[in-house]
Amino acid sequence: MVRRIATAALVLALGACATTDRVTLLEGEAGHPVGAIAVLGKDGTETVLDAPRMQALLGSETARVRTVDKLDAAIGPLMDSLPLPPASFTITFPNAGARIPGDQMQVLEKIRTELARRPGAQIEVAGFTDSTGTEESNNELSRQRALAITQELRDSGFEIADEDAVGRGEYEARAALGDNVADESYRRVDVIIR
Amino acid sequence: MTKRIIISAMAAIATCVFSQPAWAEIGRVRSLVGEVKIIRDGRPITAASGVKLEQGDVISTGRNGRVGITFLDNSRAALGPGTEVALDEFTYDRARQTGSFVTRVNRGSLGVVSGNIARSRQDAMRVRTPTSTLGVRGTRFVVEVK
Repeated sequence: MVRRIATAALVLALGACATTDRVTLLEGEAGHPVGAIAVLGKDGTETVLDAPRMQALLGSETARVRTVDKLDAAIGPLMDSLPLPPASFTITFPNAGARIPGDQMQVLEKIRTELARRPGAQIEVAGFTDSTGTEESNNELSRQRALAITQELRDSGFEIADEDAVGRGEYEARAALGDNVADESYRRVDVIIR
Repeated sequence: MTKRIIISAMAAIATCVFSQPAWAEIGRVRSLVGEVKIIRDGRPITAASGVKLEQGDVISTGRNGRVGITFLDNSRAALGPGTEVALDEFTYDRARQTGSFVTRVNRGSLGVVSGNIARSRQDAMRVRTPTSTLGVRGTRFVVEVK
């Protein structure tokens, strides 16, 4: 009888642990690395979680760390209610041009299909150029490319905010390859659907 | 003289308003079930799929409520039932994919897949609880506050 009461008390005490604030690191998504979470102490110390199912119990004192064998049943449904990951599409352009090439229309079709699956999504349209030509002309060219795609999608009835249609110029190409390098992978528009 | 003071005060207010792009969209509600509330500047706004969120918004769910949110830096969040989360700070340079992101979990459960801000600099993304501050270095995690 005494043993039974002691067991019940232990179960209650363990149960009480679950009522503490806590953070749990999970497996990375679809093959992505696990990453890490640091509990930052007021005195500059940090307690780092860097493996899946590591959990820190949070309190006013130092965080207590453990690894749990099994995740709490509520975590599955919570993570299942995350929105879909963003979908990204690339439309390529000819050198110095902002007219959408005919063979890229199929990418636009895929974008329309994806948008139909995600009503109310934010649509970001970002134009780029390679690093040949002047910075000013590339800013303008990248903007024209972004506007061409934006207009196509708006004509199909999709809503794109003005601030979501942007020209990024040659910044990315120059950072990666240096100035005045021709590279078709930067003559493009990225459409990101979130 | 009085007029000059008023004009100076108005100019100061205008500068303050225009230098703080707090009205800008930082993310969107993408899915929701049950009771979900959004408070902006102390007033409720309608919660629905596609609603644009701003820095400072406070989102809460009822006993059966759930809501999924996407952010401009590609991070995503899910709020479980009985949760209140404040989007305290979100600044993001889209071209350089850097910024800072601070959320506060007042109660309930928050599931997160971090995005570009967490990658841009150590602890650029932080989550606060009533007792602690977490530095997010990627990528999937859950914070529970009782």
